[in-house]
Amino acid sequence: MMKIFRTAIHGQPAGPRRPMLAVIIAGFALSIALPYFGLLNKYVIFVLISVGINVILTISLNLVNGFMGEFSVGHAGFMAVGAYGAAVTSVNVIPRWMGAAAFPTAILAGGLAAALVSLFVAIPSFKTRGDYLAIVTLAFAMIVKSALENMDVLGGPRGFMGMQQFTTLPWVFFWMVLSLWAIRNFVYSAYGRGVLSIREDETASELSGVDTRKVKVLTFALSSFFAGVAGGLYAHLLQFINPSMFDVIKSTEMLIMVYLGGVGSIAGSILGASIYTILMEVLRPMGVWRMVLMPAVLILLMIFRPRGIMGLRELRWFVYKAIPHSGAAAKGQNIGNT
Amino acid sequence: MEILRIKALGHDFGGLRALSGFDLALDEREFVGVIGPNGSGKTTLFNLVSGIYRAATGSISFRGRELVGMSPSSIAHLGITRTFQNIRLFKELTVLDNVRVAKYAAVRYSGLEALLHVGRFRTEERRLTEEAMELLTLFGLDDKAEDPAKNLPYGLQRRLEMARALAASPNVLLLDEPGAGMNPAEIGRLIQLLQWTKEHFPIAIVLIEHHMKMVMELCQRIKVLDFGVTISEGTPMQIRQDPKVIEVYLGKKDYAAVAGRTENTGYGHTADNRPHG
Ligand SMILES: Nc1ncnc2c1ncn2[C@@H]1O[C@H](COP(=O)(O)OP(=O)(O)OP(=O)(O)O)[C@@H](O)[C@H]1O
Ligand SMILES: [Mg+2]
Repeated sequence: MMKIFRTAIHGQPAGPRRPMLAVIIAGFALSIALPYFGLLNKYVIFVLISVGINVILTISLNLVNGFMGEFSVGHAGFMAVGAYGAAVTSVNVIPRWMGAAAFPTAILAGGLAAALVSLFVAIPSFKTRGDYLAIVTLAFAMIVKSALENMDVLGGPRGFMGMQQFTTLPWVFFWMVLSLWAIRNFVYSAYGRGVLSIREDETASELSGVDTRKVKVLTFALSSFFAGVAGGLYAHLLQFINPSMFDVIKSTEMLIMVYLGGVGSIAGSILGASIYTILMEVLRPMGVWRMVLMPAVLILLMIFRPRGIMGLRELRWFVYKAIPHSGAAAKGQNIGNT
Repeated sequence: MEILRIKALGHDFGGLRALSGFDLALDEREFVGVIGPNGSGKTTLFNLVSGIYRAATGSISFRGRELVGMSPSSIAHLGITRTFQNIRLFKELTVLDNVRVAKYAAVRYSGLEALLHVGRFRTEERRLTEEAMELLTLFGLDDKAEDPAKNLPYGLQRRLEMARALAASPNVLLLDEPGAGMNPAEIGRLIQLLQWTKEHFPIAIVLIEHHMKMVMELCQRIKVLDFGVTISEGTPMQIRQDPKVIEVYLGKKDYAAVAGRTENTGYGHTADNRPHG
């Protein structure tokens, strides 16, 4: 069991060739086949879809909080922008006869809307450093919620509806893989190293030539894009959204999933979202007491495993190496050794 | 050929004049030392040149371009990099990634290519990883490439910081007490490393050090600061004999004694950063 997990910061020998691709194809096939042959009931499908959406939300927030080490606490705001953006695109922009074919367009519109809005948060917040982002994102989420409540065209507090139920298991699986893949690629690139170095020491990062302002804004926009995508999927799952779905509790749930699964870890994001979502379903009979239990779990986690289950570690399948075995490969002239 | 010209540089912290009227004309491939007692403004000088602080007065021009007001990352791109008095590595990142971070500006792929790992991404990553490994090999860190930087012993952490500073192929390297917390044997090796670095890379070096042996052996020119003011300047021989310099180090029998002054120095000093055990 422990063998397949390695510290993200350690290198590892290259695994079997493209095992991820096989897993993805198998997963996608299952996501089509299982519902098709009636092997899963509606409830289980709903839970699996929720897991998928939550994985997207978790990796998205983890990028900012775990990988970059900033502290965003109002991620539900971006999810809301994405949900409304996608819903409005679906209902009012895309002609109805296009049906599910235009669904990706609606989701992209939601993601882009969230990314665009995130710039208004990111650009001023990242002018200064420190805990400023937490306050700004919190305020932002509240502003989004009350703005939506006061916009009658969007249904105000009663909400917005009319979307068709396009969010199916295969679609969620597709968007989940896309989100994980894109963010993983980003993390294993020069930008991603910039992101990690900002977490480690922002001043040293800047002095090493990393344009930290640009990296932070880009990262935040990317993160918000995927939060928006998740929102769009959510809107087309429930076929009805209202502002109070995207409240502080929603943002807190995302934080719990990130810190449960593990900061700065892709595998951790998947794990955190899955455990949390399924646990919340299992505990559904507890009613409101769930809301007491989960924060308690979070507190215990913070005490005993503050970085989460997979904190700063990565499943080797997700690690990208520019040169396999680069650690041991180079041998040559050394200086300064005794 | 002059590469860096600092004129009448000054800075204060709420009434405290940390540096004033500092001048320096640095030639390409020159090796200049900056010495002075604790709190004399040496690190402040580096913080101004590297753009952490915006100079209150004076100018810093690099190949004719004014640096005052530029962001630290732009200054690093232009070709001035540095190390820190208290080591500032990216602790959780690998040794290799510490160096690769500094190649941020050298990559030739777009954000989209990074996001999709297509186009120039793979060849560029391979290229800069090879370059980084070469640098690590030169600094004897290649076998530690995949270790987290925090696991390196103190001496190697200092060396990695230097490798990181060199990764962006700078023209000017600012070294802030690279020998802090080292014993005489380690200092000896560090002197060799710096001599070799200067021969191997086409760079000018400004060295802040309390270890007089290092400064005297390595530097062509030395500037002496006291309370932010330049009190002396000249060749190692001239500095050694300058009564003003001797007076500053009053109470010390010789310069070697100054080398011992590494503890209890107040603001951000290195001695405390040495890992225990
Ligand atoms: N950020 C800061 N805020 C306030 N005062 C500062 C700051 N940085 C430096 N100083 C003060 O400026 C003066 C010069 O400090 P500086 O760090 O440049 O000295 P130094 O010559 O590098 O000393 P050392 O040998 O101990 O490293 C000191 O009196 C210090 O307390
Ligand atoms: Mg200093």
